[in-house]
Amino acid sequence: MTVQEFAHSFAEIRNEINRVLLGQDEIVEQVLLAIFARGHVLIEGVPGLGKTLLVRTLGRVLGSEFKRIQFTPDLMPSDVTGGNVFNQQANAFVFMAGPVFTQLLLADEINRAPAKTQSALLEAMQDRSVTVDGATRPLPRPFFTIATQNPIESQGTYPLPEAQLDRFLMKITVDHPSRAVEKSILTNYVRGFDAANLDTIGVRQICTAEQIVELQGATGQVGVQDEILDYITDVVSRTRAHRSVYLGASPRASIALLTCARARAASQGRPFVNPDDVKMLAPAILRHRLVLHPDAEIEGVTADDCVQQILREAPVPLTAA
Amino acid sequence: MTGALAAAWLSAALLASSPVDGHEAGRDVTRILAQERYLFCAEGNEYQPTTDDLRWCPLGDQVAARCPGYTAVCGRRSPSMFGDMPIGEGEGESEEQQPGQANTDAYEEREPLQLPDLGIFAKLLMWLLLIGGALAIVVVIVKNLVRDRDDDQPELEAEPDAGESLIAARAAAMRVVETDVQRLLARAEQAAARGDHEAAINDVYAALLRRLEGEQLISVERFKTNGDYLGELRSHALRDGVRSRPPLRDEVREIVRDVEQVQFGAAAADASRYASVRNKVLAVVGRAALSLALLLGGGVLLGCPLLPDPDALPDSAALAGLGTGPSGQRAVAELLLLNDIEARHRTRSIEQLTGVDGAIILLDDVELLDADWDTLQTWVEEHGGTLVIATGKEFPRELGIDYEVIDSAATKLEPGASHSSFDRLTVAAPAGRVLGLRTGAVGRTERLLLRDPGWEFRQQDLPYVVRRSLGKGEVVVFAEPDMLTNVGITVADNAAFLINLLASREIDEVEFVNAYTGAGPDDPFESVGNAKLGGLFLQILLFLALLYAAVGIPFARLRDLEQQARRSFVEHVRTLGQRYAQARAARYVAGLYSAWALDRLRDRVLPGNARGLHPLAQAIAARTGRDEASVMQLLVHAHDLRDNSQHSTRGTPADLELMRLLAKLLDETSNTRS
Repeated sequence: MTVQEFAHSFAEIRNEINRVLLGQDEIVEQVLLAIFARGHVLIEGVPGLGKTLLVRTLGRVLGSEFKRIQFTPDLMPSDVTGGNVFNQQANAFVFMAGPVFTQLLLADEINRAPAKTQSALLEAMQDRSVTVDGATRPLPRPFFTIATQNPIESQGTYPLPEAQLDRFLMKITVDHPSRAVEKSILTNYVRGFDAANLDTIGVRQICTAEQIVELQGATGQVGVQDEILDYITDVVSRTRAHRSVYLGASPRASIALLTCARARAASQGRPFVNPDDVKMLAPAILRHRLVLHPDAEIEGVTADDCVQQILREAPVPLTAA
Repeated sequence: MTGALAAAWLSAALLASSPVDGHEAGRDVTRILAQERYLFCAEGNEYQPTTDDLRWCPLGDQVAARCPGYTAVCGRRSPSMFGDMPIGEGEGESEEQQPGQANTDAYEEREPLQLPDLGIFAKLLMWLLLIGGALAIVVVIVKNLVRDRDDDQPELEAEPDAGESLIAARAAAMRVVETDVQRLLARAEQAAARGDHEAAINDVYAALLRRLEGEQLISVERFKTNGDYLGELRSHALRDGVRSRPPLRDEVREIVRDVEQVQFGAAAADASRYASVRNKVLAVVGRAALSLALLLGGGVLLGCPLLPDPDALPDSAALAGLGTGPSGQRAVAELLLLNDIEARHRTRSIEQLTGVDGAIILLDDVELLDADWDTLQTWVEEHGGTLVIATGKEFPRELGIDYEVIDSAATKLEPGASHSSFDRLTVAAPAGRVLGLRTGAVGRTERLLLRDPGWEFRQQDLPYVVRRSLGKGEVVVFAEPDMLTNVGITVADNAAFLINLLASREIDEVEFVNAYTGAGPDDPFESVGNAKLGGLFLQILLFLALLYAAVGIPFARLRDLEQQARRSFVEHVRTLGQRYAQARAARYVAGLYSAWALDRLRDRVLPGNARGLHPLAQAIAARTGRDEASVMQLLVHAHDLRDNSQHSTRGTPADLELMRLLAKLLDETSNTRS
């Protein structure tokens, strides 16, 4: 598959999803880029912004098996991964696969489960396999997780540990739609759109799971010059020296930035990465990997502020300035 | 640049080889005099003329074709101005100004300004102050340069992994950034010529960005990507409501795509790709300037070097000393400028005459001393200059030319010598004097213009304009100053005659000398004296001396450096408390505080492994002298709050009161107290 074919397929998928999700073009694009960069996505936003609808539509359009886990405080790791159950008839333990054994997993309100349960996803997200009672079982291909969390509620929630956050390729923040978009949503609702039933607007399956794997492989054709690698290194290393940042981004963030930049270049039919790819994706890839100093947090500094400041300071390669 | 020079040379060569046509020059004159500054040419004007302004009135019909308002100016003549004296007679003696006359050309004789005698000490002090001020400025500049250099170094060190970052090293190496569009384009051409097409593409693209920046469509910064620039173009177009701007953005996007294929892609930078990018850039640069001009209502950027307006008239501050009335000379100078002859008013005195390669025109109101004439004669003879004398006043007899007064009313002038530059022109001037040529004078003489002798002077030679070689140069003498005036060039082909007079000698630089030439001060003291500020300066110096004696060197109050503001810990705590209050987590906070207070109390008064609240209450009562039961009650409440704050967040006033009591207990059990 060529880069141009990738761009064509990408545009087709994006357009089909945008038929359902109005006014969320950028979020849809970022989620797709993460998927084609073999990554997982953490979506943060208040309830009612269409996070679940996005994932369900994704499952339909990508032709992938879709499962949802509603994270609650009493959710156990075995509820995610599955476990061995004694079969009286066979007089033996039989493995009952959990909901993680799917291609597209929605971890809804992931921060409502304790860290123990959240960590059950660590191996699945990193190695795409699950180990239960010493037996490691691979997950289906492709496998990607889309987790959601509510930024407002803090009571009864368990913030994701840094190790878990680092597993997410991107953290995407969803904001309220504009007035025009909200009116369009209402118009669609009046015309009979039912979010629970995607058949009402005839959402089509654009590709299969095998084609997704093929698309993921096509991003490897995108070339990267040394100057771009320098730029990525420069941006990420600046997060470690920023005065408001206690813990900067890891080398895994650099790799994530590179892979996503290649996916973005491919999505535009461009066989090379340019600084725009890096700069556009840096906030989504870096914001959840930064731990701020307490005084900076108290003063209202956010990770996004730090990333934006870094992008305003890091010189772009081969610039005319 | 080379093309412009070639075009200039070509136009000069054409001008030298082909004389200017009378109609062509006439059109230029009409355009020039149509400007607002030439009030006397505007119909219905209220220009108040002087005597000199009215000398062309007998030819008013011919003037009116190119200067319609002059007829009305002539109708405004006052009998008291002339009496019975014919125009042209008694030149120089009839220049009495009427009260209330407004004429920009009138030169009023002023009393020479006397510089107050400051004395040697004052002059020395002033020079010392000036030198000291200059030295202080130099010192400040040097200090700033040194400080900037010092400031730059830590910034580089502060960059993360600066030693490993190629970008940081490259940025440090490329501190000097070329921003001039023309130089960038020239550099691109040079790079292409030596085969470095990648550098050439980078430079030509940088030229595009700088051009767009110059038009305030984008701002070029080190941290901005090409996508940022395209976004700025888009937002600029949306902000201005220019829907037609997207083509510009699309073309820039296309150029960006080509450039990035070389910079970040695998495309080879070759001559064809460079030519493609360059052509697109040049096309966009031109269109960007035009679109902005249209956006701003036109005309704002018409003076742009890349898009010169072919219809724009030359304008120059160097012409400010020339008058705009009928007897002024500004229009003459503008006419010369329009014909590629650099014309300007000379402000410096004749004594400082150096470096003028073309011609010097002496106008009618100039006052020259013998020393000035000597300087001019030396300049003509040794430097090959051309001196045009149109003063109407006496000049050195060494030239062998005199004025002759004849009683002729003829206004027509004829070419005196067979010269291709003049023989097809029709020239006219008001009735007046002619020139007399003395025999035996050194140098070759040409009679350029002759007065029509008429029947009464048929046997006489009546030269009006004469050219005589003098050493390496030549002198041109006009019998009257009339032709070199704003109104003089409106008649017949007078304008073409003046242009051809200079162009036939390939003169491309002309300085007009009038009464204002050399009128400016030669040094600061003369300037101060002319302004009558000597006394004021002395007072200021005296005041400074007194101030110095009273206060010393530091005139201003010394101040401490401003401390960098940083929030105190208390502010952080207060902010944190507000956050908890906003989250309605008062009880949660009270529970945390209770747990901390219990731990602190246990550490202070109950060392060891003793557990339970009762021993703690006993120890606190023993330490503070309080009632053991009340202490126990307080501790129990704190203990309950610590354990139960997770289940209910909403606080009560009792929680706050409990925290206060615990704080008081902590104070009482602190080490300082014990």
